[in-house]
This record gives sequence, structure tokens and C-alpha cells, in this order.
Amino acid sequence: MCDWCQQHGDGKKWYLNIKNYSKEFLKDKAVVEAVNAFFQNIESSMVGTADLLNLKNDDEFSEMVAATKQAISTSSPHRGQVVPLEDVKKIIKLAGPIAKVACVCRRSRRASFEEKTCIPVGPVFLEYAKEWPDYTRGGIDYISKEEAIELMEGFNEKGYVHTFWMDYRSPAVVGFCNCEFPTCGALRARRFLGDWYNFFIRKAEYVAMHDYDRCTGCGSCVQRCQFSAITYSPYLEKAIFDMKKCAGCGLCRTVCEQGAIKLMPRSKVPAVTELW
Amino acid sequence: MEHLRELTVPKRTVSVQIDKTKCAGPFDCGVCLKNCPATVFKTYPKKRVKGEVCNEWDIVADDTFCWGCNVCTKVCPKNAITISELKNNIKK
Repeated sequence: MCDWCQQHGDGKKWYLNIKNYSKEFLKDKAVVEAVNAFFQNIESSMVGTADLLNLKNDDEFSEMVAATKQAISTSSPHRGQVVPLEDVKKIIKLAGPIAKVACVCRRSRRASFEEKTCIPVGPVFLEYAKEWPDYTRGGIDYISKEEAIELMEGFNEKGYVHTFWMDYRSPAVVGFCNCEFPTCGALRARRFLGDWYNFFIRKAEYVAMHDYDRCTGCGSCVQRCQFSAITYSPYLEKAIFDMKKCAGCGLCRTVCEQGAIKLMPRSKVPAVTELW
Repeated sequence: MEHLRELTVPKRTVSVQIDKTKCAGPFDCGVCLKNCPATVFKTYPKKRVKGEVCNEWDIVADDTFCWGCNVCTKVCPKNAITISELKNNIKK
């Protein structure tokens, strides 16, 4: 667990700590400001990668390097984390209200105004979403816990990575996104810029362990990976897992007919314990 | 610092221009956004105000990551997109 998550986890994973779902955060001016700023200009600020790097001179570049150095230290706040399906179910059972809204990244990058793939959880997002009808185009549909679990299972089948988000300055929970590369702003940033750019999204508390003997080399897991962690080796006739790239989302596990892929806690695998 | 910058910042090799007078916008069309493999295009509201719906959204091209594959120029029904090579940026 990274230091920031440990600090707000109360001995558990931060997203299983009920304190982070509290309405109390709405009394905090900084949280309210951050949420409103998010609603107002997320699409235009998400220009992201290109504009971030399209720096005119060395001064601007060194400023960015300094800001990044501070941001990537593990104690710094970050916005989201990959979560596998079993933790998704735990979160849904834990908290409410739950709704579905259209995805901001798909809208901004793919002009998809219809598909509702973002699942806000808890009061922080939903309290203010009504005030921004342009952000919540297509409306906010409140759903039950069973519906939410069914939806998330569908997204898992489809191949979307489940991610769970919090506000910038506090661990106030915002909700789930179901992401895909390269449409998702966070996955784009990480894959285009490299793993040092981890203050937007961090990897899951898990990592995929591949049972080499059971693997038949069918290759169905290869196309599921949004982090390019799996390759097919024609020589070995098996899939090869790059555990340093693996984000622990568990999408490959869903399609493995041999049951050869399991999720291990990241802390039990020394090589990747500190890779977030 | 100059070397580090060159390593980190991708070099722009092509320029993507959208003719705003021909473009129909993301609500009526948006096929360039749907088809670009590098997700170069982006759409966002021109001005978003609390409590109001903004129906004027802009499309911009973020061409640092453009590969020049010309998918967008082929799918655009209005022929509003042109891709040109930035010759000065490429050593041959």
C-alpha cells in the first residue's frame, strides 16, 4: 500500500474504510471547491498528455519536472486506483447511494454521449452533480446495489478496467470508472508518458500470478490487457506476464478457461511491492 | 536540461488542422473522434456555467501523438481535416 493510502486506510485498504464515504467531507471547503472545479472544466483540463508536454522552453520544463518530483513521492495524494471485481463488490455492498452517469473521457475523446459507464458512489459526487447539467449530460440514473453489481460484471466481461476514485486533497470517495486505453485520460497518461506518471492512477493492491503449467497458450488473455503486460510467446507457445507492468485489474482472469491466472496481494510479491 | 527535454517531449512531426467553417461539431457528427486510433481529437464545452447546458462544444486536435495515418481525413464527411508534414522537424 502506498503511504497515502495507508494513512487513510485505518488498517484496511482505503476504499474499504467507511470513514472515507462520510458526508462530513461536504463541510470541507477545499473538497467542495475541488469537486466543483472538476465539474466545470474537466474536459478542457484533460487535454493532458500533449499539452502537458508541449512545453515551450526549458524553464517551463524544469517547473514541470519539479512538480512531478513532488507529486510522485508515494506519500502524495493521488486520484484513483485500479480495483479488481471482488473488491468492487465489497465496495458496492459497503456504501450508497449509487448512480450511473455518462463517462467524461469517452465523451471528450470519442464523442460518446450515451453510454453510462461511470458509477458514482457516496454523497460527495452526487450532492453537486445536479448543479452541473452540462457535465451530467444524459442524466443521473440512481441504481440499486444489485443493478450496480450486474453492471460491473457486464463491464468486466466486456473488458473495461474498474478504477475507483477519490478527491485530490482528501480521501473522499467519488466513485467507479470503467476505463479503456487510449480513451481514458488516466490510462493514456500512464501509458503514453510512462510509469513515473503515477499521481493520477495507481495500480491495484493485487498482481496477476500466472500458473505456467496450466497455461495452454490459447492467447485469450493477451487481448484483454489494457496495460500491455501480457505477450504471447510463439517459441514457448504460452502467454508471458510482465509483472512490473501488471496493474492487477484481473481482466485476464475472467477469460482464462484453465483457471491459470490468480490475483496475489502485491505485498506478497517482493519485486512489485513498491511499484504503484 | 535540453537533452532531458528532447527525450521526454515527443516531437511533433505532423500538424492536424480542422476547418471550423466546415466542421459539424461533436453532437451531429464526431466521426473523427470515434475513429482516431491515437485519440488525437478532443471535444469540450466552450463555456460551462453552473446550472446551464452548453450546446457549443469545440473540437481540437492534440497532434503531438498523431501518427499521420489519415484515418480522420478519410472518414470526415465534410473534408474539414488536413494533415500536413512538418518538414523542418524531421531529419531525413
